[in-house]
Amino acid sequence: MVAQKEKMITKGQLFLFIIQAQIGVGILSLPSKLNETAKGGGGLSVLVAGAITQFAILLLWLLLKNFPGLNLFNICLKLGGPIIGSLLIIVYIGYFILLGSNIMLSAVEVLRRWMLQTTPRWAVLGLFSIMTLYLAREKLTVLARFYTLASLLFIPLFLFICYGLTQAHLENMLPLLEKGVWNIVKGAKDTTISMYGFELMLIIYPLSEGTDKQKLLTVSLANLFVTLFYVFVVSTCLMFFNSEQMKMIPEPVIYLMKSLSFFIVDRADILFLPIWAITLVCSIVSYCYAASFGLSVLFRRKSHRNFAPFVKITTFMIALAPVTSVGIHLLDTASAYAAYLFIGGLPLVMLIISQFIKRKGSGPA
Amino acid sequence: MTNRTQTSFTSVDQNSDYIEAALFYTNDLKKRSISFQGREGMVLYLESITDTELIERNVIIPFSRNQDKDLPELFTTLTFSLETELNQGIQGLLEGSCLYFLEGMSEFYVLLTPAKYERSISEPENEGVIRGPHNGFIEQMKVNLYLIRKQIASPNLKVRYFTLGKTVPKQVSLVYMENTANPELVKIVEARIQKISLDWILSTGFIQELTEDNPFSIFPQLINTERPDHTSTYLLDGYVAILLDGDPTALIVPASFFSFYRTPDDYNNRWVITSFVRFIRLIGFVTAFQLPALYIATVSFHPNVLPLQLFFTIQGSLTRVPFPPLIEAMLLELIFELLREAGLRLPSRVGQTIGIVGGLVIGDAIVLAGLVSYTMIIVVALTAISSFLIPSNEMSSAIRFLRFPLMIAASLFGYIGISFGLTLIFIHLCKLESFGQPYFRPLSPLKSQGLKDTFVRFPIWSIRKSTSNPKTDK
Amino acid sequence: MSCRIKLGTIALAVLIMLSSLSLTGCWDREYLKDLHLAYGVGFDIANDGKIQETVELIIPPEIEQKSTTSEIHTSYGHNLRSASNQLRNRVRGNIRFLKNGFQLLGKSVAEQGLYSNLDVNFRDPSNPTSNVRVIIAEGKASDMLEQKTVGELKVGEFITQKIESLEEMSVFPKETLDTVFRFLKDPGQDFALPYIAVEGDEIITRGLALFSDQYYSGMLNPDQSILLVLLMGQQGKNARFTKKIDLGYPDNIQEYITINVGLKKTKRKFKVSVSADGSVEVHLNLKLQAIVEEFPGDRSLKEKDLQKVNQALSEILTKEAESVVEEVQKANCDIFGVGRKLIAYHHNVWKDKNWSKDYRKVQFHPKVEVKIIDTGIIE
Repeated sequence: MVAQKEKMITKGQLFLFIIQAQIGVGILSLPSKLNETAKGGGGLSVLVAGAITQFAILLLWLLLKNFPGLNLFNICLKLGGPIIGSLLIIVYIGYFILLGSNIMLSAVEVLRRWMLQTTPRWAVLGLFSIMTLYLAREKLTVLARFYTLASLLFIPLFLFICYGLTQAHLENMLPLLEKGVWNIVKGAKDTTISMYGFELMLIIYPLSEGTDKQKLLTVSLANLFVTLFYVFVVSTCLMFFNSEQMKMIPEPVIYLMKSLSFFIVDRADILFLPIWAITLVCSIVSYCYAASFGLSVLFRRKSHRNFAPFVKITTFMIALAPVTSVGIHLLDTASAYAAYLFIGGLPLVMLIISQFIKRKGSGPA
Repeated sequence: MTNRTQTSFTSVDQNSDYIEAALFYTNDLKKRSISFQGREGMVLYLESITDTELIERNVIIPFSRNQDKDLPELFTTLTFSLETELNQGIQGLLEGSCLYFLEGMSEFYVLLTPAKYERSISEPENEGVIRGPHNGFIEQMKVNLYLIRKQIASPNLKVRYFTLGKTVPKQVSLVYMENTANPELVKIVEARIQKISLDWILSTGFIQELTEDNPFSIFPQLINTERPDHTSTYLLDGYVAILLDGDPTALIVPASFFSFYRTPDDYNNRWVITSFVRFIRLIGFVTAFQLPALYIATVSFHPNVLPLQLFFTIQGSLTRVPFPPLIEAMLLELIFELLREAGLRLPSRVGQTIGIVGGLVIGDAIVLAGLVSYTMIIVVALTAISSFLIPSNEMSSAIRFLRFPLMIAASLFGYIGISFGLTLIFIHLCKLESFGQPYFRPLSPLKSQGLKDTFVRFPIWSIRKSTSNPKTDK
Repeated sequence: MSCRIKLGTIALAVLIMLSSLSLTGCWDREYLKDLHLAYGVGFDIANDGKIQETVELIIPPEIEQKSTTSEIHTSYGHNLRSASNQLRNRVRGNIRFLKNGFQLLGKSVAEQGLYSNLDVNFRDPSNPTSNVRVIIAEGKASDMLEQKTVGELKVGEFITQKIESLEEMSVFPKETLDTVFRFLKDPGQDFALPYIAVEGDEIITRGLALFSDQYYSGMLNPDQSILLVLLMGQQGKNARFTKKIDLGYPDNIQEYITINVGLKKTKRKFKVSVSADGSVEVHLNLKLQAIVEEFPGDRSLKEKDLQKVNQALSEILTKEAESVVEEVQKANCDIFGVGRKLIAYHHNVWKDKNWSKDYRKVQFHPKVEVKIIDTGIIE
């Protein structure tokens, strides 16, 4: 009711925010992809990917540390001036929208494959859009609060997957290095797309409490948690299925659920997916929030509230566009390469420029 | 009523004419001429709200006996004040005072002689406890404050009066502990109360709706209670209470979602037992709005989660039902709401008839007629019972209402629809704030100390001085 | 201003409500009451090479609290789905396999390969896999299902109950569609499935059908099955053996003894080693703890007799284990997962092997030790 005043989020909320943004739809198909490239060494690939992510986090952190109190968009404006800066903001907004729609599309496709086979895509997309729009319009503290709540859902998800361990055989995963070290490192490339989400620290970093070091530690811990969680999931799947079988199963995590039967519930996958959908909402919302926040900076408005619907409609349109699986795959690849540029490339350039300016600025002064 | 001021006239007749005119010659305004020391005087009062016997004994008789004394000495037995503003006098009249005018005097006396027809302090019917104090607030604010002060004999207990209502002013008081209440919170509450500009205020419901953060939400954002002990506990925890004269309900802010799941009984029972009861309430909360939706989603989308025997049982009971599950559920839920509303408005003796007609006749006949299935009856009955488990009536209604959108969502998308609906509800709960405090604390934002008294109740020594102390949260 | 936004939200909510109400003719909905459940499914290969699908449909009762009835239907098609569609054309239509209890495969199917006939089960997300038993029928599966009832029970119910109780007796290993899927695709492990047959009005257990890759390749009798299940490291609630033993008393009397090794702790050691020349040796040790359930001899079992009984039983069972392993190897069925071990721990050796040929060359050294720990309430 009162004008939106962005309050700071706590360290714990930052931790959960990053986790929720990172863990998304990628993990469902990750074990299968890793099985192709790294076979039994899939778990190791995830660890490598985690380490690479950590480097990226460090890079982003260095950039943010140079500009205390500023977020990515402010930094863009500061470094690039009004024209180049605005241009940068626009491409970043584009990136966030692209990733948001990619996640939404993949999520919807998974749901449609497993549960809502005949429901048209626009209906499920619409469902997701409404859910995410409702949250993305809110201020960051509200997002953080909801993510805290949604994090509770990791407990049942974790238990579900743990139950798969009862039928796992270590031998299915061995030998770890069957495909060689090179393939394991290559497998890390497939993992990165499931790791995205940490770049949202570019937006929320100035809005969280704590010193620079504490924040870095928090984000790193979140990354560690996500990495370990992925290692656990991937290893469980690799132990549960043998690699020949895995080649036929694009979403092993759900297939694992389908193979389990609990006391009263015969089909765990049917319970798993709705719960999973909620954690997916968090990922999508994060990107939508980032994009509309960017718009608010671009148009110099105080609140991002009224931009969220536009972002959401764009996301919806993009996600609706690909008709065949080729199109979906194209979107997937596009967002993967976009991420390399926007998480790795651009921030590095900005970091170098900022160092340059600093040296130049401190010289005469 | 005129808002312009009018100082009293020196002539008694002029004064009485003015007042009569101001009250539009109402019939219960009584005048009585009593001269004092030869000068003409007049007593004015509204007989409907004054204690006429008191006036007789303490005003009229002294006049006849003590003509020689000074005027103020006559009224030693009564509280009185001297006023010059006639409008003040009229307000006094309306609050149960009687006025005395004396010819040639520029001031007049306002003597406090209100009639006292008070309800006795009894236990509120909808908030009974098994153990604990059995008193409750009444319609007199002074008495209610007395009850609170009796509980908290501390100099820190602070009461602040406000007057609300332009045409019909009513007294509102703000009660809080100076040392524990968050000053920011007190400021917000004060500001919101002062912002209320209504001509008249009837009940605390008005205050509630005019001070809420989000008037469009279906969740109650102020706690209301008629129990002094409940109020005192909250006050000591740093909450702020709002009392309104003429209403036995205290409003307590800031509310959190979980405060509606607490009862005073929780603290009078063994903590393990209370934790168990809280757990039951939690189940009740979940079933109250999810069970019909889950059932609909299961029978119309995911029958494969049912174990085989249950599958056949439910299938068997459904074979004769002509409606889709959503319509079936809606039908029964509507019947239930009808019965509930009917039972509420009827005197308790007739109410039992409703129970019999509703429960036995309709319940049985509707299945025999093949309109709904037995399983649906079980589901709806369980839902109804669960919704009554919630201690707060307002929260219970909110939860009951939530069933319907969830049922629709479930019938459209199955479990995905339910998870969609739940997500929206929980986002809403996270979004809600009560007087600047997050509504869903202490769960989100997470406060481990507060959680000790949320889903379970830890022993009092472990939660004392903590619970959900409304310090600034995020 | 804020109020206007709120009103907008409300309008949106109302819009959603209305549109959702109007959308009630919806996509994935499938009412429980309209479903016709195919509980048991049987497959055969007909003479013309087509697939014959036989289905036991469960019909819900018209009046509540009555028990369900069943119908048996059969149809032909080029593959499973086309057979199912044929079936749908003939009978009530909405046949669903949501709660499928078992898949009965005629021997003809088992010989021609399982995978093509099970594929649809793995592919369709609505078909269950976790609790579906796969059973091999001697002769035709349709003949078995067409009995409709066995005693009081519906044939499907009967078969599931039978399989479950025999799993408890350790006659069958617990194999479901899921595990079968896993083994079908696993180059290093094969599987065995329950093998049943019709005899007159009864359905009897033949033993275990052994599979090599996806083809039927041999069988074991029920006695051997129990030992195989134990050797595989599985164990039901009961596992009984009745053996004739010679206690070595002067009068040379031999007695039948029945022991039960179910529920007691079993120690199994399974070691695959590769010698320098690349030949594979498997040591399979099984230590069983047994309870004497029947021993109608003249003498009571004293402590020193128990020693002899242990020894005698161990010898007998070791011999039997050897013959079981021989059968299994003859069937080229890598039921113990020797190949899996090789893949995992001796990967280079595995790469050089042609497992479908080399498995028969593996040297097995099974050894069973029995220890009687309880003689019941009499000695």
